[in-house]
Amino acid sequence: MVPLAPGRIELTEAASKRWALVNEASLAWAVWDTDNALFHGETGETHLLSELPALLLQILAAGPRCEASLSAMAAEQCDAVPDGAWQRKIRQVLTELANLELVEPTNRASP
Amino acid sequence: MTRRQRPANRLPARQRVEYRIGPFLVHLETPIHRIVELVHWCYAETIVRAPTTTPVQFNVRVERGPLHRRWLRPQATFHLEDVSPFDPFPADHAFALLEWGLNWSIAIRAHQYLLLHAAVLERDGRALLLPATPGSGKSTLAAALALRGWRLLSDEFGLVDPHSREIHPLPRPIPLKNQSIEVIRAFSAQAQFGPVFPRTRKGDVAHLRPPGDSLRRQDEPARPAWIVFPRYRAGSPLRRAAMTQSHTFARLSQNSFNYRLLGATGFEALAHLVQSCRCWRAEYSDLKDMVAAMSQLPTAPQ
Repeated sequence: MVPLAPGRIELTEAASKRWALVNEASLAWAVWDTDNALFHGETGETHLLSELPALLLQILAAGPRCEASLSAMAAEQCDAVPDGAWQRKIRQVLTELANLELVEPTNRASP
Repeated sequence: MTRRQRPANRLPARQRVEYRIGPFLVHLETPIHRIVELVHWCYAETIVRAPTTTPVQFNVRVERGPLHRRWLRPQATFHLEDVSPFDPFPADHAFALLEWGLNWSIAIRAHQYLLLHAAVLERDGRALLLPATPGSGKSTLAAALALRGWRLLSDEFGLVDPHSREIHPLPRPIPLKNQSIEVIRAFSAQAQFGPVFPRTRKGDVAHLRPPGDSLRRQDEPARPAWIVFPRYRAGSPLRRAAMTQSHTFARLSQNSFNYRLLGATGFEALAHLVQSCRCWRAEYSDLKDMVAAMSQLPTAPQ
């Protein structure tokens, strides 16, 4: 058996990581053509979001998702190929959203 | 005559006046009679002459400075109730001090509104917001528009009602600075200026009296329709470029006095404001060209 490369293992572990919105009730949206503004009531911060982070938040508004599922759903809506580069991009956006306290890892089940 | 008696033809040592500025009632008390004269000149239509049940929002005083400065370079101080937020001004700048003090008072108290730092004018029930950036020429442009048939709602504050989403008037004198005073004098013979206050912290300042129609209609709000970020640049031809709503939203949230304080209420009010307006930035050097351009603004599809 050929061992997986370390990067591949990391990607696989990350892909199973589940994400959820911090508290949907504390979020208010303003949606324009391609941009979105999001007010986060728990931090008092307003965020201007481009399409992809807004899309990830909207998917998570329906309930927690694992990273692989999020990546696939986002790729479908963006007409993107869900390859390794896309998954890394998704993870980077999720990390940024987590730093903004908009999403968090969770053990909660999907809807 | 005892020391307490005063001849019948002399004014009382301290004068009091109440006047409306948009939704607010101001009670002013001062021993500096020149201020009261200028308040009557600026706000003649809104002086409260009979008892009213409207609560006073701003109890302000302008006092003479300390005793040792009564004769040598006398000073004046502004007070909102027991708070005196500014260092003393020269006494002959007392009216300018009062006006700046009222700006400060509104900015720290009037949180029933989303407060934007913007001039606002109205035409046919639609409001044009001119948000300020330093050196933008906001006040000069607002003065010129007010002298060309637009109703002046405010030179300093866009008072956005978060519930009705309308913009409330706050008609007050427009403080014009330095060259803008002569620009507006040359622009219109109708311009009525108060005294020039030389060498204030903002340069030479003179107040343009708000038009009587603006004062008389200060209970009539307007629906927001246009947002234009003006920028005066010497020698520049008139240029107007549309702004995205997200960019406009970002700039206005930074321009507001109390956006963060209002939280979700402020967010929703600002988002609706931007949604209901056409948004541009405009650069100009010729005031007449800019005034003409503002009269040709298309309205937003509703």
